[in-house]
Amino acid sequence: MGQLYKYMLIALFMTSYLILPVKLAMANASTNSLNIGIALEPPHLDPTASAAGAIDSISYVNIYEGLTRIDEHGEVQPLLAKFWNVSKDGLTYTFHLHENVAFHDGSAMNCEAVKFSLDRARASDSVNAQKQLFKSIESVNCPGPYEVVVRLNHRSGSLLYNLGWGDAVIVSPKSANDNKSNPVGTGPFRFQKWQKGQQVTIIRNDQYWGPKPSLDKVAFKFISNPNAALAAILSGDLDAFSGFPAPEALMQLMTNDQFQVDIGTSEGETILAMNNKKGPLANLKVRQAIAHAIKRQFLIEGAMFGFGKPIGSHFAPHHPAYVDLTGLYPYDPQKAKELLKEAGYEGGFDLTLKLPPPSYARRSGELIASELSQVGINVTIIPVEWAQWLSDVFKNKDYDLTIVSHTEPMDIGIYARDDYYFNYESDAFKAVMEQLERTEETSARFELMKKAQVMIAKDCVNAFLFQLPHTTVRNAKLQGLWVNAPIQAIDLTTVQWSQ
Amino acid sequence: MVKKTVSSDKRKDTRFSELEDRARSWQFFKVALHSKSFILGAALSFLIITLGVIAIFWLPHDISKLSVMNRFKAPSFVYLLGTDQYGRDIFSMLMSGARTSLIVSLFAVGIGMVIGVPLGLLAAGRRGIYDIIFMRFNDLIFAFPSVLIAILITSVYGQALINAVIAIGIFNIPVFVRVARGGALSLLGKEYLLAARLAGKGRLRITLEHVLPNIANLLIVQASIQLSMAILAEAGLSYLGLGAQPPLTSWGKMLNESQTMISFAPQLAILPGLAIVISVLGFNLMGDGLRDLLDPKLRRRVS
Repeated sequence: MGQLYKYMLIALFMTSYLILPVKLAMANASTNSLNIGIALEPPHLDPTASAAGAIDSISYVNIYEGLTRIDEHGEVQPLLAKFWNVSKDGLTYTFHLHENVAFHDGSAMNCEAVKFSLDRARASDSVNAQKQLFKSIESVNCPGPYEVVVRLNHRSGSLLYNLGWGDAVIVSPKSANDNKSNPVGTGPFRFQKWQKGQQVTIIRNDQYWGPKPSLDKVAFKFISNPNAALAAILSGDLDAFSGFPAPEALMQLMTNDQFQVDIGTSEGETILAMNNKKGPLANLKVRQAIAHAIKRQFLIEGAMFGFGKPIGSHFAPHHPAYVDLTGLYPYDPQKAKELLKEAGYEGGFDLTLKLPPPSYARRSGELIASELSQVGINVTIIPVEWAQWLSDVFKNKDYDLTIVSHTEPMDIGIYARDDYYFNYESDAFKAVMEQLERTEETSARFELMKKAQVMIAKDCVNAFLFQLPHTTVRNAKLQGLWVNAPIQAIDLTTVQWSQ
Repeated sequence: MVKKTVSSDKRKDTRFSELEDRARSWQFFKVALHSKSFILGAALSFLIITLGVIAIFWLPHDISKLSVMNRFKAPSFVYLLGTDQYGRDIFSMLMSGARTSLIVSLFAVGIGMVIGVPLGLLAAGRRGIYDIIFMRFNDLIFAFPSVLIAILITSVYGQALINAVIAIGIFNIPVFVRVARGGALSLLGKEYLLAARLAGKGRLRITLEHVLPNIANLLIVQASIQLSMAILAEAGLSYLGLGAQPPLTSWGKMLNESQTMISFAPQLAILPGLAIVISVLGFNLMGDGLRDLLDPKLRRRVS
């Protein structure tokens, strides 16, 4: 019978482990270090060479800095540039740099480094994921060591904002090529160690040119599993979690005095992306049928436990130019079936749905697969790891359907890109984006943004699901983390432990 | 129940003696009906098996259809045990989970038997250097933590149920090698084996006609215990996300998904947990009950 007791013990252990998560949120205040959880591990740490948001989460304004930065409210603030002058014609920007700023490798940050960084990012062979940010720049020149003159080929309403992106940070000419594994910037924290699959550690840069941060050591730990995330927070292994993957546990955490839950807005449009050139999905009616088969409220309730706002296009609902297009393809399975019939797919067909690790994707995926099966589309779910998603889906476009949240701000321009993973091609849309780039006047810009939203919604490029909330769970004694995420960033410069 | 066992000095007729051996091996199962732990174990196992078999053909509710409107419903006549976070009937989920558990563990134990038993018989029959090399290699596999093998296989070949079956099957092999070898060795000196050999029967025929039937009881007892281990292993792997993938259901997966909701919907974790406990307990008690009866001293007491 010995074996039996062994199993009973194991069963008991498993159950007790589940029921009684040990609540030992230990105050870390004395050590001034911080362990913060994020869902995804970055592919590398060079924000000028990849679209992966996790890179910016770790490095933006912590390790790397740009001429300007975007603050918690989405406003442009000076950073490496003390101030700037704009010529009357709006075509010449003169940036005056902070002096005595050094990169972590010891080399000086001056106009040469700025020119190098900007020229590198906008070069024709650049691997920058957001080259459109630099499209308006004609030339970058150095009249003095701390003076940068940027000439534009046309007036641009968004240059200062664009230069605040993580993709536009200033890197050292000496170490730029090694930034993927050994990031070197001018920021208040320097890179210390990357334990693959587990965490990235950064430490305070004591030579920092500006106000020194309060924290001396920060570990970013990668946890996409909701169970593990909750357990790590409850046990005190993590002091905070940015983008908490278990929305169902938020109520439990809110009622616990040891924790503080912040639910802010993010720029994350969560979409069911469709490969617009593959098989039945090339047919507009099929894509519309899929949109009609999905009930957003079910996803928000079922996958997000109510945390999320329905969207009808690729645009953040808190933006003033937002158009509510959620009524364009209302939930209507009957209509979906009719559309499929018109498209010649009366008997249904098979699709695959590749799901990256975040819980919003995995859970929405299960619900959508069930909804699509109601209208005759047989969906096979394929869970993939993040690196695999980036290479198979994002780079090689080897997919039918996928679910992901696009967390860059104002990223509707991705629909104008050639060779983007949606495989969407529309000259009319590209023209609108081109016009937007050249328009400065706010109300005219908003009109163009509205037009663009309607276009991709009508073309039903993707099924637009919901806006991801930015949920941060933190130890109640930890202060200074952003509530909203107007840009992909976890700004640690003003984070501190209260006594 | 059991007639007095024939003592060896009375064993004149080898044919008769073998029949006794064989008869005795099957009489365990009759005797077993008097063992309380066996009866309880058999009843629990029967319950799980019945639910699993019914689930192959019919479920009270369609669990592939998710309906968020119906989520977290309390138990009622419509939903016997309530509904989960996606509005699926928990009772149907448990039935479907029983099906997954049983299919996985039957196939896994099957793999262990089909490969392990011939290897064990071979080791017993060959003896010598083969036996030594063979058994040490067997010890090696045996010593390696079984769930680790499973994680290794599933992480190399991907997260699919078939890989979990193979992984659990592999760690069943050495168990059956040992049981078959041990059982066969205990028969080696028997006169009826010598007689069979004298009668001109080949190794294979002797193994199939005389050895295998005489160790069948041992194998069945072991299989019952291994089934419970396989169910636990499948639940463990699925809990880790290495076993059943959606849309398949598994108790382990249910546990995993309900963990973060334990503060407001503890039944979602408790029910699949109970299902695992019941089935592991059932198959174990059944196997243990049978094994106790194999012990001659205990057997006499029971009979």
